[in-house]
Amino acid sequence: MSEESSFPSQQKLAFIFRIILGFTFLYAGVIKILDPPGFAVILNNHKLLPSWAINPIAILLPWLETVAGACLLLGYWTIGGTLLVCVLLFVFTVAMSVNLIRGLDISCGCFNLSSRTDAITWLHILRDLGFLCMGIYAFLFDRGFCPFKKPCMKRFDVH
Amino acid sequence: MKFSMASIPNGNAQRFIIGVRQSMAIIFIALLLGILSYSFYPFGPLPWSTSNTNQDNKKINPKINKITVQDAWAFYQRKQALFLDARDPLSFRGGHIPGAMNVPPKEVEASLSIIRAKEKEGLRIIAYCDGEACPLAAELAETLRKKGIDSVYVFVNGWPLWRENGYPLEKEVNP
Repeated sequence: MSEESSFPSQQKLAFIFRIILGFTFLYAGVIKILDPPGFAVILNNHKLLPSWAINPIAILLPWLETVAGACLLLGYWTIGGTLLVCVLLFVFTVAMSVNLIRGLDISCGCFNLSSRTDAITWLHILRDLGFLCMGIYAFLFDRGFCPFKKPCMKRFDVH
Repeated sequence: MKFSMASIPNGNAQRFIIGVRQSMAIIFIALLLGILSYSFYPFGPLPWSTSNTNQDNKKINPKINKITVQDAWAFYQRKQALFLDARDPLSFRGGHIPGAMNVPPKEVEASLSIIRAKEKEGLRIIAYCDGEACPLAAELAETLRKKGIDSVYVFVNGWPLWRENGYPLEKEVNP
């Protein structure tokens, strides 16, 4: 069986992880894009950023999540997309861990900007660690499979 | 169906370098889209534009009075005030001025009748939040003023100042 027609299980799993992360980050990014002030409140509650940084990050981070998620789903720049997703997940995990240890009773703001969601718990951190493991696996083993054949020819334009 | 597999470098170091370059491209695109979307943002400037206290005080409508921590304490002791905590419910549960009501600016309607009743009893309505640059108290006060609540004050940087002075506080036990 030639390499071109085989799809090893390792790469299948990496592809599945990539798609899961793509949908997750696309969804998370879009809900934040639709409510920048709500996300700014969440960022302020985390007490990890100086005041001057809250607005720029409230604007940039949602788009970062959305574009990275879209890249993972469409098969464009998947290596960069998974690397970025891993970095973001690492940052989120550290931030939530710090606030959990500090005893701050705040909401995550990951997928819901409502002020009436539950507070951060160690389950949120375990969830993000799980996503991080998926991201690392996808970064190492995903081979950029894309159902759109022609665009895939250009997906490594950035070298 | 044949899959289209591009020639991908197997070395992780080279993969990492390509990943960094592609990440930079993604960040650049996100930055452009962020700036573009904010240019067309219909809801006005975002809060937390600065940590400069003087600039934050200028943002409060001049028709709304500001009070100091000493005044807030005096009103509290004489039971002459209704404190409104403008933060989110989780922060409120973590600690607040005793007797305060939790009224995030977007949820004023639910508490409006109670606030009006308290104002009629002669109580001063004092809004506070957390931090020098927090705009929530000013936003809440402005919303109340527009709804006809005249006796409303903003206690700038209220929550940190209240705690620093060692005044009593209340926490809610999780259900």
